[in-house]
Amino acid sequence: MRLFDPHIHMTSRTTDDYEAMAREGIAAIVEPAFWLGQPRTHVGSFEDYFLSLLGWERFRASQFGIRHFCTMGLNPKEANDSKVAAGVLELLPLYLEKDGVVAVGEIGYDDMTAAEEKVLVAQLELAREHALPVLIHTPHRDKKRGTERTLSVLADLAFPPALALVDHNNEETIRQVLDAGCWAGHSIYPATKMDERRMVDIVKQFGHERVIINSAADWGVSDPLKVPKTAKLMRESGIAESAIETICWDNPVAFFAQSGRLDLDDAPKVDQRALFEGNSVLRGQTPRVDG
Amino acid sequence: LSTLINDQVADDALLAMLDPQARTWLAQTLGDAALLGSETRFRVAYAQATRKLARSVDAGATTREQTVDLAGTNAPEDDLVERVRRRLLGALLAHTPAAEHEARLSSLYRSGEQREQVGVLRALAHLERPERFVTLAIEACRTNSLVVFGAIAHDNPYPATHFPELHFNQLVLKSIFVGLSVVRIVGLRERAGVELARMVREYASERSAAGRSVPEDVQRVLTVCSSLDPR
Repeated sequence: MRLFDPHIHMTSRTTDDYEAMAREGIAAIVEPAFWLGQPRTHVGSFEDYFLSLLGWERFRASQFGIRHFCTMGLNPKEANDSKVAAGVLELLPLYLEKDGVVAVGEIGYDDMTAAEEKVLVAQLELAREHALPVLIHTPHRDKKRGTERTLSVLADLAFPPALALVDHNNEETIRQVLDAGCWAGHSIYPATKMDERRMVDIVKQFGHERVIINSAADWGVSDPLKVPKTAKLMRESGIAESAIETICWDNPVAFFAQSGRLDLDDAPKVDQRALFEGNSVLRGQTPRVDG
Repeated sequence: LSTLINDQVADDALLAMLDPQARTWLAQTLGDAALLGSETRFRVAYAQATRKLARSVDAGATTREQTVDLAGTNAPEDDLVERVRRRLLGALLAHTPAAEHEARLSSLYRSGEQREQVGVLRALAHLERPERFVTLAIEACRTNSLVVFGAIAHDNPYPATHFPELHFNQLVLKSIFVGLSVVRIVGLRERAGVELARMVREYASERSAAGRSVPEDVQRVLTVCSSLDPR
């Protein structure tokens, strides 16, 4: 079964991870623009980061046979820095038009400040202007209230719920997200957010319609194989194969295809002889070339 | 004049704790108006403090400025390096036009490594008109570093005195979230309220729904909140 990890920060992962992901069946990923663990203090740092998502990272993924797409946005944590926020919002219209950008994201609330709300609303408007869906981060702290507020902002702006993927859900938030007509993402983490066993229970209770899972793997303790691992546990727990396929492939494909830029027609053939601006991912190894 | 005398007494006490080389360095630095007025030179001196003071720290020089926490126990002793950095920051502001204070401190914080950032955060409450630095202090709470977060959250009177309710509550919730005991949050009893109780209760509910244990600090905060809330 082909698998899709619709939320993974590959810039902080290794080529070993790419190799393992491809081996476990991950054929496509979405890398949302997020923060880097500590705040950036210049608008130019964002621009270089956006460019690396479009360039080097897409190339790295292709070298392991994985389709790499990304989302562009100003994350809520850094939205609080008024000095960078305005400049990044000015950059976004340029980057939202790039090929391979399949949503605006991650956007949303963190501390639920006025500055975060302003930047969230501005980016929902940008999504509308650029005809893109949105990937919405929900806060780690005060999550339920944060999710409620996110949904009410969407409603106030009459933003189509079918174009909103609300991420990092748990047992206490999924119902309101699904009831609002949005897609519900679940980040399967080693210790926090959601785990495989709880995800199985959620699927048994809420079904598979508009339900999505991801690894959200990044620079912290996280696991880029959480999508295949959760698919396996769902299978062992008696969840129907068709439901697993819906959750792990069809749903993310249907959601991001709304961008009109999710080109999955030809799986990239691995050709590790290729170079990106003169650089290879190899360090003296024999290039793998698939026929 | 009395402030000046107090500063002099405090400086003498601080200098007396240092080994001769460090004492010379600090006295010269504090007396060097050109250094204090130069952003680059000051940043260098501020960064050097740990190494300049290493011998004094090894020799066991300590300073005691205690705050009393929720449990009624004394906070740990002030760190010598932090105390010296606080003095340096006081001198910096005294030699900088007031309109530039916030920018200078923010730039020092932003470009600092972890202990330099800690030095800024631990000094905030002691600086003149500390309310000017609230944006910097709130931004510091977004750090992923427990050392830096601890410097603003623990044994620091700044948040309780200057944070708006939302940010104070977020600081308490983040402390529980990352496992830093709320016992050492100064002024929690005075700032605890109905909204904090709601946030903490919902956090406990989320943990329970996930089949996870609820940290002891949840009950501790709820107890403080309920002792204030007549309901």
